[in-house]
Amino acid sequence: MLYEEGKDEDKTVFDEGITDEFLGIIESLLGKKLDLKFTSPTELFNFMNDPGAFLEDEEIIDEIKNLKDLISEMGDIFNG
Amino acid sequence: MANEKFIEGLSKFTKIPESKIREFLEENTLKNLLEHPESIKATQNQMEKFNDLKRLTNLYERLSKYKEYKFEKTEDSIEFLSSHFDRLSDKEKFLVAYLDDESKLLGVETISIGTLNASIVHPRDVMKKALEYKSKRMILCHNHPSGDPTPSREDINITMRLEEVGRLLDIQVLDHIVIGNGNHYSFRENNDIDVDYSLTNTQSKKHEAIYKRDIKDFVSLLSKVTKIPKKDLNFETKENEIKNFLKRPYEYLSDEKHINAIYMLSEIQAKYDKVKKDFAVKISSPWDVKNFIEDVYSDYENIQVAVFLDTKNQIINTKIIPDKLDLNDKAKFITEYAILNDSNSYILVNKEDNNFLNDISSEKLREVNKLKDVSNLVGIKLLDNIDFSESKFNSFKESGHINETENLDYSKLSLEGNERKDEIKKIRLDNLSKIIDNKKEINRDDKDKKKWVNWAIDR
Repeated sequence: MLYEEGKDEDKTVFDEGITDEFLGIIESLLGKKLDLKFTSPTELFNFMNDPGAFLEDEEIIDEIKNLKDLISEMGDIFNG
Repeated sequence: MANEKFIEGLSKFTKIPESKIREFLEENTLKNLLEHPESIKATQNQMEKFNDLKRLTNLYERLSKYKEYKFEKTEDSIEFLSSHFDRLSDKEKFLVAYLDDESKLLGVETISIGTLNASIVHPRDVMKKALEYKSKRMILCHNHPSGDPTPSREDINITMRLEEVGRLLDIQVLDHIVIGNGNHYSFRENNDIDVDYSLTNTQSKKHEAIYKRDIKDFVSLLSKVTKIPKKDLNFETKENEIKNFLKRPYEYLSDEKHINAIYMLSEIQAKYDKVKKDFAVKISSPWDVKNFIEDVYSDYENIQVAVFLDTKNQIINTKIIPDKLDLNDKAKFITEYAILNDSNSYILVNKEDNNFLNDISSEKLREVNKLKDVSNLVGIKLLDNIDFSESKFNSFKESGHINETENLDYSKLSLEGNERKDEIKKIRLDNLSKIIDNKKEINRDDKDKKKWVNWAIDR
């Protein structure tokens, strides 16, 4: 008796709007394509906290760390 | 960040010369600069970069809030989650807030975006994220572009299904909120879900212990293989840290030999993954499974193995099922593993020595069919149970012992008032009876069963 194969399921569509926008701005500010794709805001948050876990290029890693420091500081200034 | 470093960073990313920023700051504050960047008379391109930074800051703040939010009551959920929906959107979006056992937010994930009337939600997708987050609680939320938040049949269907799966995996569904146009429907407020936000999940300690044990096992094995002293492998329970360690060992280790050992391990893993992909084994019949298990587990006797398959019936992975698990824990073990491996179906195989192979008992049949029902809740099929030894071979599929699973049908619900609630109760009861039977077979006596039934009727 043969096993029936499963049907291919519809791929889940993720709302990538926020992550795409965020990544797009970073790429624009760095002037480099990062070739990354995030499927959730949480992943993106992890990326900002620890870019080294996602990228190899030390120079870009440092730039993202600097960028994160800068926007954190800007957030503090705006809020208070 | 000191002013100097801030100015340097701002200039670097906006291309506004540092001297211009300094000049402006001689008579103004940083806040003035950020609120009125036009005063600095930057070029259009510089202003665009400046606005990019502001947008990035806003988005980043929104992300950061995810890590601090605690859900203590329904209003918290509505306040937090409704901000994730665009009122003008003409599409249904289904998202889930994943929480820890103290109801602190671990993350929000959009599970699907659908059409005007419906979004397709697979329980497996919802549960996969829950397991990845090690979440203990979750709040479901979606919008109705029509503006009327009254739940549809499908909404009730998916809520109850996720509740059942959640019960199996020890993940509570705290609420399902439907966002309308300036109004909402909360399943919890309407007593369709009855879970207290303040209750601590009693399973969490057990799970924490399991994760700690897994990491301890990993460290022991890694130390044994690479000869790196265990004291240099102190990861606590942070999975991300382990991932980072494997990718960038030089950040953690000083001995070059140890660093190279980690790189070699990563290389072996990558090659193994490639080989696995290139030579995927396709299962077409029970005999393929038997041959595969005989090859791979030739040194083992009396083991139970779950063989996980993709939609093309290619083997994704296999796992020996620990023999001391009761049926409930076995169902949980298999279902969790299947979800995390994106498996579509699985086959149970018992490789036994001749003395152990008996005819199919009614107890065995019940066990297999219960496992099948439970995994079916998350859309994962149990294709077959195969028992074999050197001289005997039984396939439940071949002998017709595996029945087609009936999908739990929540869709016959009327949607109005008390009538709807009565129907929900009835279906809950039917559904729970199935799970009660399952539990009873393993470790519950009739007295316990009565308690469960009473509990269900009360609801």
